[in-house]
Amino acid sequence: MGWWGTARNSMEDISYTRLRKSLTIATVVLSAAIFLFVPGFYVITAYQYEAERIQLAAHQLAEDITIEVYQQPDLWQFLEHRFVGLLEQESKDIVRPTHHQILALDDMIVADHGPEIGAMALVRTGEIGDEARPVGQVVVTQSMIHVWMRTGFAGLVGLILSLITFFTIRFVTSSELKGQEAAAAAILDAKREAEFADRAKSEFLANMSHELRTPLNAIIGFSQMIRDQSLGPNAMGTYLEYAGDIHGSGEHLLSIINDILDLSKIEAGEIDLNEQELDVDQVVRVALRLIKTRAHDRGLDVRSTIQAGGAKLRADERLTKQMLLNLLSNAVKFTESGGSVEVIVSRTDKGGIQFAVTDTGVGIAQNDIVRALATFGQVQHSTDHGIEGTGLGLPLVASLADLHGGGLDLISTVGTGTTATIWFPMERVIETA
Amino acid sequence: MNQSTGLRRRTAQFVGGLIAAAVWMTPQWAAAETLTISGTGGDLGAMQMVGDAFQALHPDIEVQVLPSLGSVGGIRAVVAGAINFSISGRVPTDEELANGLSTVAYATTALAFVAALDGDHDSLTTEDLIDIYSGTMLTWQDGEAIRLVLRPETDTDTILIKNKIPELAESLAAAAARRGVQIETSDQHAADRLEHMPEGLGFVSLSLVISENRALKVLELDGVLPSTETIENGTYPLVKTFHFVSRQDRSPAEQSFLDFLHSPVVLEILANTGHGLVGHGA
Repeated sequence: MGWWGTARNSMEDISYTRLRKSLTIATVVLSAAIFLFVPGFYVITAYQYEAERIQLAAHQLAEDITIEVYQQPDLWQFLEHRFVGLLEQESKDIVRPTHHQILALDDMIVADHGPEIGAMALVRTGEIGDEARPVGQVVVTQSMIHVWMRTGFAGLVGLILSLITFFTIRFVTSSELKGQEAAAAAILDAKREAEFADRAKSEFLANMSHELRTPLNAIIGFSQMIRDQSLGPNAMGTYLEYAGDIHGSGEHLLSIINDILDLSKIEAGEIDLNEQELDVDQVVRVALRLIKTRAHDRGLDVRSTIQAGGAKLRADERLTKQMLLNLLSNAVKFTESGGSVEVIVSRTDKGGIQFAVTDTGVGIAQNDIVRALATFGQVQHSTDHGIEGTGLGLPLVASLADLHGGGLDLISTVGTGTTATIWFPMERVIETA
Repeated sequence: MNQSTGLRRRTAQFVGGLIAAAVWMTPQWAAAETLTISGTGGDLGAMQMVGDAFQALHPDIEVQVLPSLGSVGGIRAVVAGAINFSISGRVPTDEELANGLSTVAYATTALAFVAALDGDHDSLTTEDLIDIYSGTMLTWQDGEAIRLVLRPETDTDTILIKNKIPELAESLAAAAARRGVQIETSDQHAADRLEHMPEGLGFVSLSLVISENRALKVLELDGVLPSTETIENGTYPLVKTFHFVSRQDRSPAEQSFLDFLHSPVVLEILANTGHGLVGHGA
């Protein structure tokens, strides 16, 4: 992955952040536009409509009055009763509070009808003429309170629409972006895993080549020396020793191949558990007996503590022994002379049974624990210390424990030691009276 | 109505005699003058006859009876000096009189409910009117739709009906608010429309119907036919008084006309045109 991958991730994050900011700004602008547009459009159109309607009414009234002016050009301004009647007739069709005034040119009020209109009024006039000579005007004043009240309502509608728009777009884009980000992250993770797996497999193959070649070389080399009697016909003792080395190398080779086959079977789901009632004490004793010689050879103190309360375990006997042996083998392998290895069998907090193998060995760095548990991962200190190992032990133990519904926990401090714990769930515990 | 026509014929003969006398008489005024009269339309027809009679006696004075200005407009026109006299259907207010006016109540007349001459209906009751104006009764007995002709809410005739028959006030207001109901702004317009509307119903002054010889049928109200007799004996409820309004600083011609208003000639004209007579004063 390297710095380029990290940089690219950062750039993708920045890109998504910028996109999200841009979308937020666009959504806010759109919502604000909707909020302003709805009442704005209403007030403009309503105002225009009312203005045209009132203007038309003023013109029509002026036309009607002009007819009266034509009949009595010198006395028309005294026709109040007739004009008031006209205005009463006009008012029958008007819903809004409206005030009419008919004014002569000298601003004399000829007729006045309707309530006084205060604020929010719209005023339109119509000219009264005699022939082409203007003689007065009609003034129509209408309250516009209803328009502003409806504008307020339109504003409320606009606000609701803008909120709906805002949250809808936010929800949709946010979900879409999250989906895209998640997909991108998943692709990235898959790529990282693939790269890690590829690298681990390469390392595994290189390591396996070394691990397989070493015992094979020993077998071939020692058997060739025996066949050719390279040390002469009288070195039978040495040849017997070589035969022992060949046997040991063969067994080691077999164990490697068995581990590989077991892991393959587990991954293929081809292992069936042969479940039995196991006496945990006996399981530990058998395992310790198998490892005891090697431990003594390395100058290690090996001991065990059984605190299972006499409970039995329902598990596959061979695989349970294999798990415990693997952990003991690792403990012995990575512990220097004078150190100790201890097996403690106890109950878990949830009522299960656990086998904890503690050594005072070299330990594993925190960063390497995950790697040590990976199927093809291997901590590189085996070769550093000249210790044989395929790196398959811990993954195999973890897989076998998982097969039993349990697991493997690893706690380690470099230079102090490691505690590897296999635990089985409560369902596998058989309490005895 | 035949009685009214006979009265008119006798009035015309009387006026003709006056004209003949005027030719013989020497003019009292050296300069010609024109007197203009307007105001409520309810009595302009009778006033035209009065003016003709006056002019016959005073050839140098022309009397012009102008189209209706209404009571309010007429008074304002007198105040403005636009006309000499105005007829008011109501008592001028103190505020109006404060503008240097004087007034005299010279006659009464009936506010009559009228229909076209060729209509089938002759009488109505107050209950009928309430039903008709409130919209409960929408057709005549022959099934024809009743076409109402109203006057403005502020008109003196509308106010008179509301005051004299309060139970009709609400119905009148309801009728005024209904679409399609005609509101005519002058007595003459109302009479014009009703003459050409066989199924129409409205109210105008009896003096207008007689003096202008209108083709309208005067309807009985609760069994009482509006006439000079029923006005004077008080059996007809809707009676209105006409007031003659003039400036206090009158010209000799104006004063002469005002004096003529009290003459037997005018009293006869008024008596023959559906008026009741009231005491005169200035």
